[in-house]
Amino acid sequence: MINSSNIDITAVRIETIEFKPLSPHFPKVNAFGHFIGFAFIFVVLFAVNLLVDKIHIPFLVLAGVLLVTIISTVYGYYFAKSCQYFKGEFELMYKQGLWWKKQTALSFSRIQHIDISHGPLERKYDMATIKFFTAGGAASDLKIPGLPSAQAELLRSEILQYAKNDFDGEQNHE
Amino acid sequence: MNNSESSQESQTWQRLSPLSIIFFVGRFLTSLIKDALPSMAPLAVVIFSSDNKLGMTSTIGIGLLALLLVGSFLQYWFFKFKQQDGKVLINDGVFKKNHRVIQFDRIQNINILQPLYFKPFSLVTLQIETAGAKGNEADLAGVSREYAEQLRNQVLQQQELFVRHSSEINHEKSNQPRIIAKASLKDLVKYGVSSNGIFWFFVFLAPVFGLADDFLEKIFSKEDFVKLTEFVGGGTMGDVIILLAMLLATIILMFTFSILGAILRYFHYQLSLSQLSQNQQITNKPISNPSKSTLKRSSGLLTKYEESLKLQKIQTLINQSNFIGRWLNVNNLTLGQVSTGQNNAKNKKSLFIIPARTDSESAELQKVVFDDAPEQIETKGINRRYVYKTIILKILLPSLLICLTIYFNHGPAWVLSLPLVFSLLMFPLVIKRWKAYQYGMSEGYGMFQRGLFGFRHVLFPLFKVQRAEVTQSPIQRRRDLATLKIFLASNRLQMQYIPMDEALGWLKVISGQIEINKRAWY
Repeated sequence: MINSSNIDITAVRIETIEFKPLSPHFPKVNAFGHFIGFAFIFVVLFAVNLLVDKIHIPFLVLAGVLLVTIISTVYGYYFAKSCQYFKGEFELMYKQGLWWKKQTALSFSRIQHIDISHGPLERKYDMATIKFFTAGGAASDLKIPGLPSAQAELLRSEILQYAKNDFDGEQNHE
Repeated sequence: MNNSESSQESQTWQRLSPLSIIFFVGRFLTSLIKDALPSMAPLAVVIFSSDNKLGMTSTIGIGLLALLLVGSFLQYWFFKFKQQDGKVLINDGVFKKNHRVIQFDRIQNINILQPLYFKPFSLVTLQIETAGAKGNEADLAGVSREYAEQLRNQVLQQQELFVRHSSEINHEKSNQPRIIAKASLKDLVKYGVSSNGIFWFFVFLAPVFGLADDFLEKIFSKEDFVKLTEFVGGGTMGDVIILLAMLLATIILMFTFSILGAILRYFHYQLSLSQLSQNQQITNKPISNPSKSTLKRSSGLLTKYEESLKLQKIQTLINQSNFIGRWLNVNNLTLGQVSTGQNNAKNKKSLFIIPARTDSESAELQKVVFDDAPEQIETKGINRRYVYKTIILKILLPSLLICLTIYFNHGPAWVLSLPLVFSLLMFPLVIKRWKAYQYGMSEGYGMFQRGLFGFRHVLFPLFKVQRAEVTQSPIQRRRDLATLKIFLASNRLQMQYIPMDEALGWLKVISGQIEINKRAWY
């Protein structure tokens, strides 16, 4: 337990946290999301090149777009694999990133409200995106995509239950 | 105060004073200038293309004026409000009807303003600001001072009731407010020059100067200018003198405006603290309970502002100064409150500034604002790799790119040496900035510092943090360094190039502080 007296920060080592991966379908869905955007550009350029006589798009440009599409798709796949979360006793942790890594901590008692959304692809694979809103403005909200739907629902109800108990506890404390 | 009695008194819908039409005219004009000016262009075209320009101008002018007056009158007519059971209800809007319900316990700030035009009639504007939902705030322009004060007190007491046990409220009386800060005219002059306002002013003025150039050219011909140059000595020397004189005039003008702005806003500045008497404090809370203390600020030369802020709502205490402030030995304190984060202008408004304090006065105020904070927090600096990164990525590489472009476009060879020279020149500044980055935590409080010529020290209770984040770039990963980002309801803070395990430790301590500290963060 951490007390509020003088804290030597280096003494507070973070214990090995068992992060949980997101839905096993999430990497391929995310890769597809990355793929579709660039692939659309590629198809449009390719079609223009083929069908419009006056416009000639250099081969290098087409090859470049194709390369970016492939890299982005692969990146999307492995990025999604790097996303993991951990539900602690009173906080939620989330980490992501391949080269630029990010780890976020959010205490349950700072959550204002929770949103769960399902995109068309997410629905197909029974996944959901859960978003936690805090009072710190848009920049301080936390979004976890690609969670199995049941897990997202469970997470929401557990956290809301915690918030309720916390509030009741506070009332009794007063 | 008996709540039920006073709320019964104001059950009926009320109108503002008819003088509020002036307020609505002002608001209409402001929004016209801000949003609708470009769409007025067709009117100008009509005027310029008509045969009788004067007639057309006056017709359009009178039409607009009539529209303005009738519009403002209708706004006044349809604006009705009442208070009822801990709520303020407002109905307004001419075509689009708005029905607003503002709960007392959702009100973040309740301010009383007295613009010049309300002074002779002892009317005021009651400004109600809420946190969160945008558009759920209100200006009651043109209510009597007594009414405004009564409503404000009721709101503050109701919030008390919300936080505390309801049975205790009737027994307690506030202590007389204690004045904790004042600002003399001299202080305001110091604030004027030491707040960064002057730089904003400069940014704002730059386009105006562009206009002034054209204007001056029309008044002074080239011959006049040559004569002037000769008058101060002629030749290159004369040019330099005139240039310097103009620069000096600009700076003096900037300072004058900044000082005038400070005096307009903060004249007769007085900050006071109302606190409940000690023996009535809840016993199981050893520290004085910030939920019961309110800071009140009154100031203003033409428009008089009276603002109040509950200590509990303060998220951060920012102590900052620029290089002039350091030289004059004054700091400006800013109390960070919850911001909606949607609108910059609104965020600026929600800043609570205490101008021109000396170091010891700042320390005294810190004790008032965060009474359980340690007097000193030991801080440490960030990793020196910050210096290498800044020099290489932010100075050397960009300047090298520019110089290479120049060189390959038939520039002289010596251009290639510029990036190195430039980096060497910037080196001392980068070192200075690196040394200014300091961070530390103690007794549940965190301190982030940065600066170059000035400084900015941010003190915040760890349990008020909304979310914390640690990021690591590929460069940082090689040395196991990280960037710590802290999101508060008022603003966000960042400290880069600190050891990874310390950054993760901060996350852990913040979570722990939130868990053990059951006080409301807001």
